[in-house]
Amino acid sequence: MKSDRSDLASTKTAEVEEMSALPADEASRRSFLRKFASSVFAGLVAPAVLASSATLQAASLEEQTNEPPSQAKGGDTIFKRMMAELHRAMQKPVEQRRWVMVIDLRKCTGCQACNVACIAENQLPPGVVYRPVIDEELGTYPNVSIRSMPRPCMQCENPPCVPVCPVTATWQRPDGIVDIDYEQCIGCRYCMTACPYHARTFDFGYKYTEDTPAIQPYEQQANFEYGRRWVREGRNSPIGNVRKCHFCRHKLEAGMLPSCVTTCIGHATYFGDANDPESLVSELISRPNVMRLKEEAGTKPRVYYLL
Amino acid sequence: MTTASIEHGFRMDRRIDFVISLVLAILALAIGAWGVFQVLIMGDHGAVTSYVPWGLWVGVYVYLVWLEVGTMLAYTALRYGLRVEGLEKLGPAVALAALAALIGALFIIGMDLGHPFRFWKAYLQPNFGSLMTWMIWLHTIYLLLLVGELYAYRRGKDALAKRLTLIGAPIGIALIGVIGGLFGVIAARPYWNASVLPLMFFVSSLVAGIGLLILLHLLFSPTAVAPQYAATARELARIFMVGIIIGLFAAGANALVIAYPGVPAYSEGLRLVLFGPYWWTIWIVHLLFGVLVPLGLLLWNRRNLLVIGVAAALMVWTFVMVPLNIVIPGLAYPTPELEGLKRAAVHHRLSFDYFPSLIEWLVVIFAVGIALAIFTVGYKIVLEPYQRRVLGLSGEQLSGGDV
Repeated sequence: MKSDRSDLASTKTAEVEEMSALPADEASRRSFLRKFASSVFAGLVAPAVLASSATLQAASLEEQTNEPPSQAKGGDTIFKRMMAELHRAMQKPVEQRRWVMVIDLRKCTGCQACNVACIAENQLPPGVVYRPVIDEELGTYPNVSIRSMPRPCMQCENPPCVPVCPVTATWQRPDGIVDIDYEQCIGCRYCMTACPYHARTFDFGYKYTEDTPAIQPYEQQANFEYGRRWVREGRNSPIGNVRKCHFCRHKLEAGMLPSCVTTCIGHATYFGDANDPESLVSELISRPNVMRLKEEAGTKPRVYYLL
Repeated sequence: MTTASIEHGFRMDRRIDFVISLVLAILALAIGAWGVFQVLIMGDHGAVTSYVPWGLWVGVYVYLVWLEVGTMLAYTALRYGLRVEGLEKLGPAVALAALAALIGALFIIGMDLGHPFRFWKAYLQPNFGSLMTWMIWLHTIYLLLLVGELYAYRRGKDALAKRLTLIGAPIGIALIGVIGGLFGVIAARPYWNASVLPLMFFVSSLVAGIGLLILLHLLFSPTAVAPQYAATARELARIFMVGIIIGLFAAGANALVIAYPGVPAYSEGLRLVLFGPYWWTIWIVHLLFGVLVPLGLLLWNRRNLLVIGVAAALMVWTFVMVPLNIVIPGLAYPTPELEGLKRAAVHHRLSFDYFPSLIEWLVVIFAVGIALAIFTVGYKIVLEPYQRRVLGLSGEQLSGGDV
């Protein structure tokens, strides 16, 4: 900006000097023509220039104030970009990926679409929740607002739930996702006590239609968590097991984004490989308005929130 | 297994006691069987929730471990360390009581598993980085030691029994430390997360153990006819009083340290204990009937063996409230940052409120039935032959009445 202003000042000075060197009538005619031409030109190009300037200003503002990636740029574009990044990441060896989820709290409407999608995708029974949306009322009337905060498993870099398992039924994959082996889990629930985010829930074996004349078919369908087929029947796993969000690992491996990401009506949830410097999540988590839950604990969650 | 002749000598004829004890054990097993059936066959998990995943069963488990290890440690320390006289022939009774409590404890914690029939994985596919694995393994080693000890007593190999008792002491200390550590290392639960917790578990275990040791001495010591019997009981009562006071001081100091900063994330658990919906469990049941009344009784008349027995029984019985008030309140609240979780999902399994269900109580009754049955049968198999041997009595004399 400073150089632009100095250029403008020097142009003006040269113009003044040029004008003063000409006869008065010549100078007046030139001045008139220049002003006229400028006006016509300005009238022709102004809309385009202004629009371009406004876009630049908006983009600049977005970056400077950490505005969320806006719908004006195209929500579909964001999805396409995340899908392309996902495919790019899946070409790499698993240990070179670092999955990260970013949730923009300014855009979350608390609609629970992500939660519902998660329940549908993973066939979650009553009492099991991977992605509760915590609504908080802030302020006092008349200055009130609601903040909605989805809380999936944080897939911590230092997961306190992993070392406490007595039978190594839960572990951290090289890409950062914390897995559970339902067949190995003995259901002691020690990991649940160790999670600072209450992100693990226990499958008590409930069904939505258990007190009705018939268990409905949708409750007998398999889910495909951790890339395996799980049918909840009798006392088979995952009944009697600890369960949690796994970033829809089975979908990632099929080249799809997690269900909570694709169903978010406000495009408030982003997902990608933080090891990819070109990825959207890499951009987002480098902003100063990013935070993680209980950062002081040093668990280093891989779920980030934008404020 | 009661005796009405504490002051007058050791009543050898325990046939009626045996029958009463066996009937009580069978009754407890019959009542509790419904709960066990519901858990093992129907998959009932009690009233625990995803946010309060441990409840009555884990609390009673800790209580039984405190008794089992505490009694053995108290006996070992007092007999072989401080050389308190009159405890020489109490070894089998202590080991048998410890074994009964241990098996009750293992049963109850097994029932707490989501998949109880996968318990073997902790042995064959263990993660030794987990304190729970150490707990399971140490507990199993302790079980084998106690069985070996009782076998040695029955076979008349008292030297071997002594050796096993002494080996068991460090393992018992490790077991208590590991269980205290199992809670203490959980940084996510500020109420538990204290380096002092294993030490608190050790003190609690020892005090409760001394209480049970007094009861075992009063009820089952073969030296009941000797003058030393009463002197030993009074000596134990004196040590018991000191133990209660030390325990009270330690618990009070710990509570003050938690409460003083007034930071809710850390003090909420203690607030729930002292002023929560179940405040009476700690103030009335434990503090009044488990600490103050026994202390008062012992201060009032420590010479009377009946008073000593009542004081010890009160303390031991009500001590179950201590682990319950450690386990449950530590889980029953979210940290302020996640307070909204209370309302984020509506389901009774996604709640921070917990009170044991009928099934949980039934399983506890079943576990008590198991412990009682083991002690009753063990009395016939180990204690009676041992007493016959050390008193030099024939079988007829043993069942013939007071000595």
